[in-house]
Amino acid sequence: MQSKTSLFNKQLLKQDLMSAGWIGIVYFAGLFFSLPLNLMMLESDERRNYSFNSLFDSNAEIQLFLLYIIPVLVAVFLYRYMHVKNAADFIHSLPITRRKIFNHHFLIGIALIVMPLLLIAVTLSLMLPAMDLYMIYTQTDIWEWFGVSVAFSLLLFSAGVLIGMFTGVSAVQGVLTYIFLLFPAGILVLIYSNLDVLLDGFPSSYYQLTNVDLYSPLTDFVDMYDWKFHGWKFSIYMLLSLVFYVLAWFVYHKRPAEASGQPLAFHQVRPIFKYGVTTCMMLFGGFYFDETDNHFGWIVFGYIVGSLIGYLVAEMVLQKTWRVFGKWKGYVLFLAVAGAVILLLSFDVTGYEKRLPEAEQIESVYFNENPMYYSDERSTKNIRDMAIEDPRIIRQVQKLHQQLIEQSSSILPDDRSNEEKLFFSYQLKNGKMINREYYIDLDETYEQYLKPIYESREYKEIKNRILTMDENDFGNLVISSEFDRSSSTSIVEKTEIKEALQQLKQDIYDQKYEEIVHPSDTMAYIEVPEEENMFYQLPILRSYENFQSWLKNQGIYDQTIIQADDISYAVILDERDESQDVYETLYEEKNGDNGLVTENKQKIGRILETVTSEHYGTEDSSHYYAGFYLEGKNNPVVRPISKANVPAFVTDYFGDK
Amino acid sequence: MIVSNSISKKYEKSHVLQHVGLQVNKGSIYGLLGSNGAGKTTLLKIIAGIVRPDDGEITVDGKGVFEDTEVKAAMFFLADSLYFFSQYTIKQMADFYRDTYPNWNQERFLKLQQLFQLDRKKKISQFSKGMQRQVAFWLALSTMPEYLILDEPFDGLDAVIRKKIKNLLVQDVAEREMTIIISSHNLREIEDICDYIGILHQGQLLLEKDIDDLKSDIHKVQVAFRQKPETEVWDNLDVLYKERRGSVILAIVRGKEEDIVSHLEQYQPVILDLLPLTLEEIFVYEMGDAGYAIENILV
Repeated sequence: MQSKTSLFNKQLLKQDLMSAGWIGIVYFAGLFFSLPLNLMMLESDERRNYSFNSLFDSNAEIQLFLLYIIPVLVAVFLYRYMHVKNAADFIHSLPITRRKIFNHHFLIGIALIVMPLLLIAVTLSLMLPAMDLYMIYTQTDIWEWFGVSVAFSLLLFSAGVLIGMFTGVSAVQGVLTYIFLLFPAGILVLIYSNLDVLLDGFPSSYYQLTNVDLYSPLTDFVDMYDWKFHGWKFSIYMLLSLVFYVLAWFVYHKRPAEASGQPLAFHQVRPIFKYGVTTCMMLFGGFYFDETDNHFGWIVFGYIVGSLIGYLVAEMVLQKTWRVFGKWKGYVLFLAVAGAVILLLSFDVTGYEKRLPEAEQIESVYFNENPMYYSDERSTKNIRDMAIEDPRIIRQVQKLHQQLIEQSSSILPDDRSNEEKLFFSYQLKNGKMINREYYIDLDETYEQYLKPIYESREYKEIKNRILTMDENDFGNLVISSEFDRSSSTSIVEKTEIKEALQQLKQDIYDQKYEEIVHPSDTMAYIEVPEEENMFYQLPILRSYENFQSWLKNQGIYDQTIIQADDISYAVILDERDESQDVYETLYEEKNGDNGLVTENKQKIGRILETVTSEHYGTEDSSHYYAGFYLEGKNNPVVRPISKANVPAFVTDYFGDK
Repeated sequence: MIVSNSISKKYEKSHVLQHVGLQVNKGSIYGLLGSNGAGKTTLLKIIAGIVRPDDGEITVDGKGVFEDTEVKAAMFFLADSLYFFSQYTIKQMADFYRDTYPNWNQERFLKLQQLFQLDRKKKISQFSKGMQRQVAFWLALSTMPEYLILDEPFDGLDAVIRKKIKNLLVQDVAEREMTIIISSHNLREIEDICDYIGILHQGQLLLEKDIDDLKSDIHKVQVAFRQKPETEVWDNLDVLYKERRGSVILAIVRGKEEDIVSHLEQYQPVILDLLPLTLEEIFVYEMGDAGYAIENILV
């Protein structure tokens, strides 16, 4: 006979192991296959060179699959008895408290997850010296891998157990667990993209850039190959596991034993589930039609169809039958409330669209009009670093913003690809941020607003990092030709570097609005140091006169900048006359159906002055493309001719169209 | 003693139990009768501490059952559909109970094997349904419960086994004052062992009676008078039912035997017989209007 207060019921643990132990064995086998065995295979093949960023790289797909499946499987199988009527009655009739039953299962769950991982970690750590694998991984790698795997699995397991408490059907437990884990990231995406449709100025790309992935372990873990699992993340995972455990434990105590077989164990949760699913599906419907079509009518259709499907599915799950077509009262009520919320939002009752902070509240403002992906906006810190602080320019930004608000024409996300993205991020004195994003065609009407901003010293300094750089950061100055990157000139003399950069800076400070908006072609690049051994290439425009004359004074202009003399002949094609892509034609056939070929140096020089850079989009370019064939080079350099100044002899040749 | 105090339980919107107050005395065998869906199983699960009532409370020897391991250790609940851990042998299942119930009696377990004649090393799932039922009783009795709660326990058992088990149960009740609550939808199935009967109908306890009281309290009277008796013959008696077959009057009368006899003898009957009623008949007459409720359980 055993004492009544003993902490463990050996037989209960045994029963768990007998019913769910196989999962641990499968887990171990899978891990053994993807780690030690895989390493042995790779080692035995002497021809193969391999390396890992982390141990997750070894048979990553299998590891990922196991990590995603096993913990939830363990949770489902260990707590399966709750979902089987007979078993639930049986277990709860025994003289064991619910607390104890729960903890026994939880403990076995942890063991089934951690033991295989631990065994593999020990195996790996023994293999390290035995097979001399120090080139592949280290002891630290092993325990990092172990810790990350444990934290991730425990989070999934405890979430699975928690969800299991709320349902009486094992399949529902499995499905709901993944939905639950995905929920924070998913709902953020849905809310952001829907607000994006409903609210003019909603900075959706700003929000989506700030790592939505992070909010769900499932999305965060997908790219585990090359990220670092930081200590804080480990702590959050562990803390969440603990919270889920405590919650599950608490709910288990309250859970009615007779709930087995019911999709939801607590009838109080039913409306939350029902309308939660309906809301999510409504948002998803809007999101889907927003992504695929750009009519507001279709988006509304998406809301209605999505919510209807959500409502019906929720009812089907709750009533465990597909014949649920009789209960409409709840849905009608939902539509009324959701419709009201959406209407209120699009009528901007909160004043969101009109909100523009007062000048005296603004500490600084980050302003960017670059339509391209701007990785620096990923972090708030970067945005703060690159914000404008000069109150006079801030006022200009505000004027522009005011104009945008007044001209408000909401453009659905699908129509945005041809528009400029304007992003405003106000840092307020009280520490808050106001972020807005607009898509708009920056035509001439905006010149009066943009000009003072673009031409301001501070904004230029923010946009052009070179302006704030110290000349001493340059060990040498490499100037490479635009057309032919292989030929470059390197300046090593400190004073010369300083001089050159000063000229360059002056050129940028002198740039007028016109030049910034319609940049001329680049004539060269200089290498600007970024990090250790990292450079980026800064284009030198043909319009940089100070720098040009400095090159000439130094006598290195001719050797670094391609001029008409370097070009043996040029071919000009009219895009509209060509049957195929002009680049292809120029590269492969050297001439098109109706091309202008010239060897005249003067004309070539004239064309060189009018081509635009290929980096600034097609907005400034005409239909004419020039192919320059350099001496001794097979492939031409192709540039569009700028719309604003097509040489007369070109239009003469092709005729006015 | 098990006392329930106005217990109510609702599943979804349907009231399964409404204000059920029942009392089961120590050492008695309490038969809980009711047709399907009357709430018997729910009531038993509440008594066994599996289900928590929405309202009211249940006490066993003055203590609540729910989550009280001490009370539950002295109790054994045998559900209508049996449950054993899958792939377990009788021996493994016995080991489980031994570690779970502090009063487990290994000696008894071994002794009962001679009675049941089942192989302890065999997996329970390989036994027939009737044999599994015997295994359940075997294990249940080995935990030496003070309170044994049986939900429809004799379903699917042949008469021989049924007799065998009933004997065992009665023996335990006699020897160590075990208390049994036994539910059934069939009165005949359990009337031979119960000394107390409760009838549950649509979630309400219609009646709760000591069978001995019932039997001594209600009588079938066969009486014939020489001349047509005055009507007041029956006036002072509690007559539940009366019919005339020729000159013989057949009546069901409530009351003490001596009282009835002495009363009727005043009128010099030619025949006066008091016949025993079957339990079934007692219920039919006792229930009167509510009789419809028990028709099902009498089949």
